[in-house]
Amino acid sequence: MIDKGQVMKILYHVVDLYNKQEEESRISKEPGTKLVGENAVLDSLGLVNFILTLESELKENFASEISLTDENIISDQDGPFQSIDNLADYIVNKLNEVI
Amino acid sequence: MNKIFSGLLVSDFTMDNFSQVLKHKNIFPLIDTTITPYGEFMSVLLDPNHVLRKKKYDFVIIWTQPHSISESFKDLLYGKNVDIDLIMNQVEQFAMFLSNIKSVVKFVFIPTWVIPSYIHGLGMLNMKPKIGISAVLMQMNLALANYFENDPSFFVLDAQRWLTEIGPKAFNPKLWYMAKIPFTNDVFAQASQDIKSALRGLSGDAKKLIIVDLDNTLWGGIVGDDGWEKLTLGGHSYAGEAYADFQRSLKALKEKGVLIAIVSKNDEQVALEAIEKHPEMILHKDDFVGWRINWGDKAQNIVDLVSDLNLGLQSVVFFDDNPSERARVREELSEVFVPDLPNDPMLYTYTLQKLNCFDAPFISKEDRERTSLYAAEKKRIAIRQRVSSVDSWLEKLDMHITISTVNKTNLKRTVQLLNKTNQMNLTTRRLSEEELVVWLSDKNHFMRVINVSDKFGDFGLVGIFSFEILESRARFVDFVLSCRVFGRKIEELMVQAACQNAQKRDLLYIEAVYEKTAKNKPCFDFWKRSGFDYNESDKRFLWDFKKDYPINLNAKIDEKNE
Repeated sequence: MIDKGQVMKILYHVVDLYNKQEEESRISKEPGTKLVGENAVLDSLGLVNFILTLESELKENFASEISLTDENIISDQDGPFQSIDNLADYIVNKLNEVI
Repeated sequence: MNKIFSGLLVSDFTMDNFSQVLKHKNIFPLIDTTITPYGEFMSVLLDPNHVLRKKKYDFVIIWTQPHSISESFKDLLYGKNVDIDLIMNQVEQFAMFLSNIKSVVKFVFIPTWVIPSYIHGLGMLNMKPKIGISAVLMQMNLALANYFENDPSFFVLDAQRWLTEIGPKAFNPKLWYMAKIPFTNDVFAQASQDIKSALRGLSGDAKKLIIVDLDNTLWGGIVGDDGWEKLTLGGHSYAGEAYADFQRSLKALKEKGVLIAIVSKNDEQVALEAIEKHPEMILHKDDFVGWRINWGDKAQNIVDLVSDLNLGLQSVVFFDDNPSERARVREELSEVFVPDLPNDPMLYTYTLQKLNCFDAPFISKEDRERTSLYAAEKKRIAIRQRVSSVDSWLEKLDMHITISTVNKTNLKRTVQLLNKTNQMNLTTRRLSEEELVVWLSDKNHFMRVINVSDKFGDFGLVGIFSFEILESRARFVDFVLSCRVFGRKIEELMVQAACQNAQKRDLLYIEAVYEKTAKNKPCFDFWKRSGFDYNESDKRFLWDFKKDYPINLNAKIDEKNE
């Protein structure tokens, strides 16, 4: 079983990678950070970069491929991208389904 | 290096990610970018009135995918039979479009066309001429490179190397479908490194001198303890072969104009004996422009050596196997670039060849002969130390100075000198070949170049001076002299020649306005002692033509006005 702590660690690592690249609009490393919608730091290209980097890191760390690029899920107002915390829960469930 | 370069990014794909990478402040020089909106790259290339062409840029990067510029190549990708001549025509037409962009930039960078490595294509037929994707792509890239072969403003960059460096992570198909970006940021980081290195080279900020240690750097073992006969170098051992290869790579750098010197804690006589007698040495004594082989502090030895060569510390790379010596030099001389060396000598050549700090836009005759020019300089200094005054020293050198107009033969070297000289440079103006030709076409602009030789050798083209006419006065625009001929009164000769030519135009006086940079203090020092009146507030030096500019130089001087 994969626990949330492992996934949060990867999420924060991806935040670090993103912030290293983006010198002007940095993402806060907090569970409540919003990734999409009003007051979110990421613009549309930033979100694509973030998601694809995250997919690649998850594949590398857990040797399983999960897709986070479903448009309906990304734009869902109550969906996983509302916060880093929600996204971590979503990923844990997905990974545990696959494993 | 404080200048921020402005770049226009023209592409058939979304350039925002690449722009972010280029603008990153972790590697110099700093870059500011303007991006062509997605889908507009052809209109920027074709429309001279496009809003993005109203502004001047330092450089433009034109990065396209092969199927965007050739419909026929797109057909080939989808398995159709195509006419290769048609593809080559489309490439030539595209190259012609690219030529149009020259009006707004100094330099144009064009990454070669690549396709994702996961495209299997025709497998074993991929290199079959006319039908194989890889073969056709190579032909297209070669045609592009050939098209710009003689244009000094265009640089076709090898994008395949960036992809090879990154491997499978170079591409992510999802990034293409979601954002119209064909490469990952890892590829853009590689591209950015090469482009920044090229900009440094084009601005005269490439490294010019590599200083190496001896024991366990140029050869394996401690020469003072083991004796030169027992050093690990060449022969049949893998470490010996690696040391010999490292020396070959250093020699290759010398061929492109980089100087090599030694700073080593050793007994000088013992170390030089090894260099002269070891049969497997690739580098010989005359390959080194100088050395400091003693038991003193390496940082101090580097300072002394660099000072003797009239170079700045920012031009230096220091290679030493010993981490504490590297740390000492890094701490004491922050301008010197000190790469980390792996523990294993088999990785030395790899480390050296990965460095991108020696890039130059072209390699001149002067570059290839630089070490021998410095060797001749040592002989001159030896005479200098024996004679009583500068004048009698200069007399013994039998100097021959030629003052010429800029012409087809010397244009490239003039541009090179203009763009790489930092110390004796009044304004540090940087120009492309095209810009210089345009500047020279104005009848109010005047430029001459200086060639110097003496009985020990030929320095080649080492000086440039130019002025512009502003109503009743002349103003120096460029005053550039290679550090190799400082202090031979050539500075004064250039001033005198400028004065004489300005006087012929019935002007009243000539002025020089010093533009300070981090490196051109030697130029300021010269002007302070030049005899010109100096106004501190606007850094302006002035000579009134009521009297002639005096100079006492014993040399043969020719003027060539071709």
